[in-house]
Amino acid sequence: MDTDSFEKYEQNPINQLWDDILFLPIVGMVDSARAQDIMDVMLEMAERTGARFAILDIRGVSVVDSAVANHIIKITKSTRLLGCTTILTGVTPAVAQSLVNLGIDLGDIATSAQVRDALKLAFNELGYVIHQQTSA
Amino acid sequence: MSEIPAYTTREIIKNVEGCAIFTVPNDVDQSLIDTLTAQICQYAATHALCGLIVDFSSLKAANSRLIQSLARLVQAIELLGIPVRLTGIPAGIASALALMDTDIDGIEIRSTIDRCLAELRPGSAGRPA
Repeated sequence: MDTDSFEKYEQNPINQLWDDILFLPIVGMVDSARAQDIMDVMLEMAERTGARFAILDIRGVSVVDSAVANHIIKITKSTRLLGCTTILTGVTPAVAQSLVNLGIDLGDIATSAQVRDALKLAFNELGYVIHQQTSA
Repeated sequence: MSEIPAYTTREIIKNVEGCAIFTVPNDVDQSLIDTLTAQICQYAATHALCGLIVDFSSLKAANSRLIQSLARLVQAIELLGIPVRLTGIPAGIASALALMDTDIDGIEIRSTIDRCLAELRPGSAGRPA
């Protein structure tokens, strides 16, 4: 991995959370360059693993305006081209309100407030069922 | 005017258990895709197919126009009543297409050929037995 790639992955630590499920928490500002880096790491990882879902957690993004929303839409479109559906999570009430007030349509992007809900959605789509083991 | 490479239907389409797999050639351009669309539609109309898989893994570059042409191929095949899945789009091309705002809504894309086959084969989930 070259220095640029290392920095990309360091700033955007994408992980394989489960079979077929990627997870990427975003913290800080998202400008065009950062959005391109996020797209690159997500596409590289989706191509390498063949994952069917990517959970993108934007709780740590300081400002979500129309520019950031457009970057997110492009990221989800690009991963979709690899057969990987992006679930947007960490949408706070303030962000939800701000997106509505700005008239931004996220289209058919699946969203949730909590990572837990996004994971449930992915598990459901993949046909995974979680059982709690009963103690003897 | 560039000469269109000759591809036979046998070269570009593989039939796996009734499912046709069309591998987009790496030298595909606008003129070639029009020719291939006609060939593939003809093939689809004359074979009992459970689905068509369009595999992009050989593709080295693509622009918005080419993808729109391929989208028209998908629509034409679906009009023949055959479900279509796309697969194998390289990450670099996906990134470029997303930045160009290429419209791919309504097209079913899967990460691998195996996943496409699993959905399209008769008896699989979502398909009639």
